[in-house]
Amino acid sequence: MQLNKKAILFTIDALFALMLCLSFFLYINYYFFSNDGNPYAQYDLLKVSEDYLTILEKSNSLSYILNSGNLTYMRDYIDTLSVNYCANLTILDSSNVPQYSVSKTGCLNSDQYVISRRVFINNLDPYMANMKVWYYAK
Amino acid sequence: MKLIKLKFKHKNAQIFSIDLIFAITLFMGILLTIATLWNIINEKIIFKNERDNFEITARNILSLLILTEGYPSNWSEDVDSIGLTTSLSQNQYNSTYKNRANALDNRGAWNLDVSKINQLINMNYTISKKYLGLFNPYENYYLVLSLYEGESFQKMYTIGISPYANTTQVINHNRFALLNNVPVYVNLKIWKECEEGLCN
Repeated sequence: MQLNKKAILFTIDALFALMLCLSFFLYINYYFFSNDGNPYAQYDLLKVSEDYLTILEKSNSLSYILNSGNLTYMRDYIDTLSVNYCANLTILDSSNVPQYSVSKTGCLNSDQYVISRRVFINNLDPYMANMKVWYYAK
Repeated sequence: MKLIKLKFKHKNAQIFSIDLIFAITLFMGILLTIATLWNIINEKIIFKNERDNFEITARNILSLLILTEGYPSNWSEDVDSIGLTTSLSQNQYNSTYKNRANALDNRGAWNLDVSKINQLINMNYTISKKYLGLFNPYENYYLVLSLYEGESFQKMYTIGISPYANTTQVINHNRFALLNNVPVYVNLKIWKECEEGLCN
């Protein structure tokens, strides 16, 4: 019995086309819908950092820390941040010398962070506050 | 010999028919697979776009509420824009010094006004949705303001409708502000009702 060679080639061709189509759709599915996390993660971190530092400055808490040296107050305050966030607040004088630094309890350092800065006046002297925020990593 | 010849007279047609059926089956299979995948991926694209729009809307709403005073700045019912911050102006009507540096000021951006919070609570919910940019009748918001009370934030004001239990699309976004010099945790949820009872 002779085989119909054209028919066999046609089937292989169809199989090849099918594999190509399926690969294409699987790739689209994976590329567009793989869980790549929150695309606004960095933006959200920056807003948290900016907001927190702003309200600390506007409520005179930064001046209070400088004048009283009460780091417990500051740590209690930073600890109220959501469990997803870690933070470090550092206050520097006009020569960039750190005066106080407080970190949220139970947080390890990370290299994926954002920093916001705010300059404020205390007793006629300028100071800078840096708020470093990053996501909590287990 | 004649019998053998007769038997194999239509050998091409026999093999061709099987091959054709196989090819058709394969082709239909490919077509059905593509159609199914096309629908699935299309739905995912629509869902993702909707979610992305919600994410942007949530962030815009919170920025609008905690960074702007609204227009006019003493807005109540007749309003062009909603904002919850204290007014920068002297006459409490229109701010003419919006570009004034307010680093040492306790008015303006991040400083919330209790009276405006109450205005928003008393405002018709459907109208407030439109002012915040939620035009679809099935879209909703739920705003919670919690005040710092020494060790934690305690819920003080809630505005809007809390998400239903069967809601599938809920976007959560948080920021911080001040209310009478007290830190406030502002949480906003944007969520979508199931349209006509059908959920995604």
